[in-house]
Amino acid sequence: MPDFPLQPEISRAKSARTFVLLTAFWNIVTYLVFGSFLAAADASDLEGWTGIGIFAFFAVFAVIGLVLAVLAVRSLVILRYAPQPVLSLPVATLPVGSAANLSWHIDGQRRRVQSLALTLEGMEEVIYTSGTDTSTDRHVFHQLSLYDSGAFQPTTEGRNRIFIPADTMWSWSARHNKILWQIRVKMRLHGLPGTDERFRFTVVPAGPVA
Amino acid sequence: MTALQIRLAPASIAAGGRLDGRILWSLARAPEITVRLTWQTRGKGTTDEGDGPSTEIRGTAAAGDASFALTAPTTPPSFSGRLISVIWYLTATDRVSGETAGIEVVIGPNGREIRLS
Amino acid sequence: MRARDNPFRSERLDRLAFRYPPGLDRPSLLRRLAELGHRAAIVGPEGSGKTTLSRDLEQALGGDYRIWRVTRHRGERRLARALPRLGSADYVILDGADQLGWAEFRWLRRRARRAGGLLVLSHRPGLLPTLIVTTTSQALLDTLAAELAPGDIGEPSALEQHRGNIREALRARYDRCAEAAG
Repeated sequence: MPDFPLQPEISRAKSARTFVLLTAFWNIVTYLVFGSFLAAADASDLEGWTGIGIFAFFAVFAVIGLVLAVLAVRSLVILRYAPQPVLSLPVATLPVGSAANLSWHIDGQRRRVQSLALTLEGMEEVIYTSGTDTSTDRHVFHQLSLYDSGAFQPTTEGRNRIFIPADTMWSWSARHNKILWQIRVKMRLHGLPGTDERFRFTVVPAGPVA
Repeated sequence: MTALQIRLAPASIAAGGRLDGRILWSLARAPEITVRLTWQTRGKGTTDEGDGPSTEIRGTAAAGDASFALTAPTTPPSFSGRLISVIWYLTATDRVSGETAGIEVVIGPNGREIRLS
Repeated sequence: MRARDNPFRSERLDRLAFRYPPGLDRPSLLRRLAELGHRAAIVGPEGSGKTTLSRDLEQALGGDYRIWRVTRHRGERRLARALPRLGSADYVILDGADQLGWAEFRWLRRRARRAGGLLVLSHRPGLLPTLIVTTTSQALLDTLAAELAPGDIGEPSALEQHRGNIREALRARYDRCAEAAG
């Protein structure tokens, strides 16, 4: 029987790449600007409150750079060491009112997994503008726990039945308003940051009744 | 009587089903009417809208009526959640006089709006 | 409560009219705009009604000019809409002017130099002569909220909680309404 793998909403590799590039860009620019300023300034320019103010100004940028670096390291650690959930369905799309078996397992360093929870979620997602800012808001309208290890040592593979209610809304997308279906996988890991990833799949209208 | 009227029986229909109705008019000149299904979102997000099927009615007199039929689309259905509602409208627009009329239509499984909890 | 029934839904917020401060109205503001040579800025903090006011003025200006509304959203690299060659019959309204870099704003001013008018919306003064400074208040928030949902009792310090941003405060009421109704 064919298997249709589910992809995470944001891949770990893309996340790590983004943080690393952002960190590098930010810190390089901050270093160059601060370094140029220091090279051009006299010692007298840096005395007293003026000097304190200048250092405080650049300290803000340095702190941001440090936070970005921490996030970059975190994402690299997760990419390299954190176990990876692998999910698949036997069908490419799932009609409302139907069910299918979700197969899943954990790849990589499974012994690190302290707790594991898989949840089926149906979600509304909207985008709105406030002046020149764009914001996103979400609301989960359907939630079903598929697996929750709780306080016990989790199993690292399994198969769970997904039921999509008959009287619910299928996957749908407009420019600012969307209905999404996903499996949410949360893991607490020993010695590593925890992960919370979403694997989207498509729910379609029920087929014609014969 | 208002210049342009829409009569539907019923005003709710299953997705993919046939929507039968009548347009009644009392205008200065014989009309050229476009009857169209459109949808809009309402809720917390910026409004989205889209077009469904349409049909044309060409009147031969300034006052009269004519029947029409449209096939209701299968998606999106009329639905309401906490952040998003999708509402379907049937509109009739006369290109000659500029008169319009509109009525809400429910398109969904078994002719009912889908409610998300 | 269904999204379509929430009194604080998007299209209702978009339809709120600008509340002119005492002593000021649309005609007097348009006169001042003309005195400034139709090159001016609406200045104010986020959620204080700059976009709403610009839409109100656009209604009046649209009778005499062809309006080009351009928005620069935060984080965008280019203007949302490229401008054609402009003449005296054209009027440019730029939302998010302070998101533009110095060079880009200069380019826009050059592009619009033959236009009938250039009105920019900005959080800070200095880009063009200030037409009006928009402000917010708890009383204004309460008035707008009462218009949208008569009988809705808001929080006394709601505006403070949202850093003076009326639009954000009204959006927060969307969520409160939805939760209260269940």
